[in-house]
Amino acid sequence: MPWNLNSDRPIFLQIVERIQMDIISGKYKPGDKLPSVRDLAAEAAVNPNTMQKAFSELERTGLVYSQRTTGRFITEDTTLIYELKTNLAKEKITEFIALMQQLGFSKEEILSLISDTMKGEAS
Amino acid sequence: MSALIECKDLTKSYGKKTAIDHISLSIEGGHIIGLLGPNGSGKTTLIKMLNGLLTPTSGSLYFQENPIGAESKKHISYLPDHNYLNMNQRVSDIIAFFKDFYEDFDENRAYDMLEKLQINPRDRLKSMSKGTKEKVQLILVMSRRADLYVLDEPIAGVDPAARDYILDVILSNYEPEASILISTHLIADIENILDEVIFIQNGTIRLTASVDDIRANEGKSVDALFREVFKC
Amino acid sequence: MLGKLFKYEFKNTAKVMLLIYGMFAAITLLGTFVLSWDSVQKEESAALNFMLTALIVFYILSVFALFIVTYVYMCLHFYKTMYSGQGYLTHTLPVKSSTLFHVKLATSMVWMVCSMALLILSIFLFVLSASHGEIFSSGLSAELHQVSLEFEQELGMSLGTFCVHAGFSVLLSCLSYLLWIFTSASVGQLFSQYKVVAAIVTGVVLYFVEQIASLIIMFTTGYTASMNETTVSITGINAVPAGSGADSVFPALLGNTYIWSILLCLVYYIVCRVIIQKHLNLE
Repeated sequence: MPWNLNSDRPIFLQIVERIQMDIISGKYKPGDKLPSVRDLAAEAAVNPNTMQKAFSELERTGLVYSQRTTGRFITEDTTLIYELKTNLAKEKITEFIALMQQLGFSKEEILSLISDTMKGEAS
Repeated sequence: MSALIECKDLTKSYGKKTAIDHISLSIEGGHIIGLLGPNGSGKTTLIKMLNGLLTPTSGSLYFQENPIGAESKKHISYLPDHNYLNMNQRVSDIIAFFKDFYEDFDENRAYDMLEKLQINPRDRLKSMSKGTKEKVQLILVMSRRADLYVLDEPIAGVDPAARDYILDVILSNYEPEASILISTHLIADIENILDEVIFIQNGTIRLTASVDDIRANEGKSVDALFREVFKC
Repeated sequence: MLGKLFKYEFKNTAKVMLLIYGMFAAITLLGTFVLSWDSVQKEESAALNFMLTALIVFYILSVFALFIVTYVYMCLHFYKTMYSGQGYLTHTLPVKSSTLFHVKLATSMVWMVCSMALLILSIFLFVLSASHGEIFSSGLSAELHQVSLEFEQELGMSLGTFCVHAGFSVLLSCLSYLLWIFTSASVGQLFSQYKVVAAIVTGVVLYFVEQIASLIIMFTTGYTASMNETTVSITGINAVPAGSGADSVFPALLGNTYIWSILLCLVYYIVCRVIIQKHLNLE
C-alpha cells in the first residue's frame, strides 16, 4: 500500500519524519538494516530520487549510516535516538501549548487539565 | 550526466495550425518526469516526435546526441495510449517478437510479471479484458532495459487497484540511469512518483520544475498548481 | 534486422495466404478428378455435362478470386501495419523506414508471384487431366512449331521471347498495381481526417492518370493505325506482306509500355518513400 503522504509539503521531508517515528517507536531498532532505496520507494510509491534525498537527510543528522557494500543501518547511538525523541516531544508540546493558549487557557489551567486527563485515564 | 533529450526551437505545424511552437528543453537521465498539460496542449505531438512517428517542421531534436531514427529507437521504449499490438497474437508470440527486435528486452522480467498477475502467456490478446490488455502492454514496455521510457497516459481509464499496480511496475523497473517520461492529466495519482514536471500548453512550455521545489516554494501540490496555472 | 522483418512479415501473412492456396488447390484437384472421370466415361450424360460446366465456371471464378484476394489482402495488410493502429508498433522498431517499406513491398510481390505460379501449375494439371496425358505425344511439338511461326509473323518475335516478355510484363504490372495502392494509402494518411476516403480518391485519380497516359502511348506508337493492317492480314488476304505493320509496331509498343511501366513504378516508389520517411501522420 502506498504511504499516506500529504500533498502540499515536500515528500522527502514527510518520509524523513515517518522514518524518524519508526525509529523512535522502535519499529526500526538501533543497528537494524534499512530496506534499499528502490524497495522502500516502491513500497511507499514515491520517486526513488526523493527516497534517496530522505535517506541523505537522515544520514546527515546521523540517525542513519551507510556501509558501502552492505547498505544502510540505523545508528546504534541510543543517546542520539533519545535526543530525537525528546526534541520531537518538545515540538509537539510547544504546538499543543500554543493551541491551548489559542483556545484561551492559561498556563496553570493547561497543567491541571493535563493531570486531570491523565488521572482519568489511569483509573 | 549529458542530456538524454535535447531539443532546440522545435516546431511542428500542420498548415496554419501550430501544435508545437519553438520548444527548447533538455531532459537528463535518472528522473521520472511528468509531461502535464490540458488536452490539445501538444503532449502527444511531442511524444510522437520523440519516437520518430512525426517529423518536426523546424528546429532540432536529439536523443543521446543522435537525431531521431533507427538508432534512437533501440534505446527508447514507448507505450502509446491505445492498443497497438496485433490482437490475434498470443502473449508469448509478442514476447518472442520483442526479444527478436530489441536487444535490451528482458524476457524473464516479462514472464515474471505476467506470472505474478496470473496471466497465461498462451492466451491471445483479444480474449483479455481491457484492463488486462493494458497491463500486458505495460509489462512489454517496462521489460526493456531502455534509456528512456515514454508512457502516454498509462493510468487513464484504469481502476484504482490497477493504477497502484501500474505505478508499482514503473517504480520496480526503474533503472537509476534511465528516465521515464509520463504524459498524463491525472496528476494527483501520479504526483508522488514524479521528481520533475513540465507544464505544456498550446505547444509551448509554461513551466519546468522539480516537484520538491514546487511544494517547498509554492506550498501546494503539483495537482493544485496545475489547476491554478491552467485555470479555464 | 532485415531477415527478422522478412520472417515476421511472412509469418503474419502466411496464415491467410495458405488458407486461400489450400482452397484453390482443393478446387483444382476436384476439377482434375472430375475431368479424368469424364474422360473415362464413354457415354454423354446430362448430369456429367452439367457438372463439367459448373466446374469450369467455378474454376474461372476461383482464378479471379485467387488474384483478387491475394492483391486485396496485401493492400489491406500494408495499410493495417503501416498506417493504422499497428503502425505504432511498426514504426517504433529500430529499423529504417525505407527498410520497412522494402520488406513489405517485396513480401507482397512474392505472394503475387506465388499465386501466379500456383495458377500456372493448376492450369497445367487441368490440361494434363483433360487430355489424359496426350500432351506429351509427338503431335504436339509440330503444333507448337506452327504456332511459334505464326507468332513470329504477327508479332515480330518468337513464342519463347514472347513468353519471356509476357512474364516480365506481368511482374511489372503486379508491381505497379501494388505500388498504386501503396501510394494511394500513403497519400491518404497525410490527411488528418477521412484518411481512407482520401486514399480512395487518390487511387481513383491516379488510375485515370495512368489510363490517359497509356492511351497517349498507344497512339504515339501508331498502334491504332497498325491494328487495321493486322486485321486485314488475319482474315487471310495474304497479299499483305507478312510483318508489314505488326513487327514494326509490336516490339516498339512493348518497349514504350515497359518504359512507361518502369517510370510509373519509380514515381510511385519515390512518393511512397518520401511520405514514409518524412511525412508520417499516424493517428
